[in-house]
Amino acid sequence: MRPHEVEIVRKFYETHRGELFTYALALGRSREAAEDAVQSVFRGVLDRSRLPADLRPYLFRSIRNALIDQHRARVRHEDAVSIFRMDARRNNGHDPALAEEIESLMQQLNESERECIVMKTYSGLTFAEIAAVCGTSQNTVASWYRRGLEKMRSLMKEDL
Amino acid sequence: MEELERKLKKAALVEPSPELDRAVERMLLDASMRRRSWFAAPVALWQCALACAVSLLLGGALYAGVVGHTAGPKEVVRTVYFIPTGDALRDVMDVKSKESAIPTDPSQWRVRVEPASAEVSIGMGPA
Repeated sequence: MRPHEVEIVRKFYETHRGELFTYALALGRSREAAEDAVQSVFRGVLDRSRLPADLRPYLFRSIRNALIDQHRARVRHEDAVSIFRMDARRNNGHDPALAEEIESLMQQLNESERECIVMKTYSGLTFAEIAAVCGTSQNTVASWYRRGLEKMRSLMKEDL
Repeated sequence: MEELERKLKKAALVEPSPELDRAVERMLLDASMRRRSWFAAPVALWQCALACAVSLLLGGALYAGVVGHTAGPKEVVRTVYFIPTGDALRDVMDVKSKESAIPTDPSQWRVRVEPASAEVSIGMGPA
């Protein structure tokens, strides 16, 4: 890989590391598995002779391939790590109660809805990019997203 | 729906550890220092085919230009007319041999008999 391409990867990591990690954590449900996946996909990109045409969906798809099914099955539900900060400290706008509430709502969603909401809300992917990552149509991922939000909203109303 | 989306965005996320940052930084550093090897560079199939075609054309041109010119000289056939008498023939051959126009070794002669005029030619080279 040429030096300027390595620089592109570096800048991409610096800008999107949080988004990739959040997605990996949502899929792998373990910090170790998520960090291993992020590291291995970046190694994979750097070992290539050329940068993939569309780096962002490529990396998300690679993380998905690395984690989906394998780690989900291994991590027990009670050991699963949330993507939200659950520590009790309330600073910089962090609200532990809100994090817990959203986490409990997200647990009610199915895998596709949850994955789609994480990619759209926390990783900033468009529906077209999510569709490319999941290997499905834009309409399908858009309906997963809306259905997931609808479920969460109705669950919130029930709580009230 | 928008309110819920705003609420979702407010939730603080778990950050990747500094170990991950260090590991990726190490990989990036290794990749930037790795020298590009020309011999290990991947080459497209069409580039291979083009290189073969160019080599073929250059080889052909080189052969035509160099080997063509250095090929052996054209065989020179000298035609010698003989008088059909034994003594005269011997006399002529003696003279020609001395002038080195005809090789002295008869095994190198090439003899052609032309029936119409009954001419005989002698030249160098394989018979």
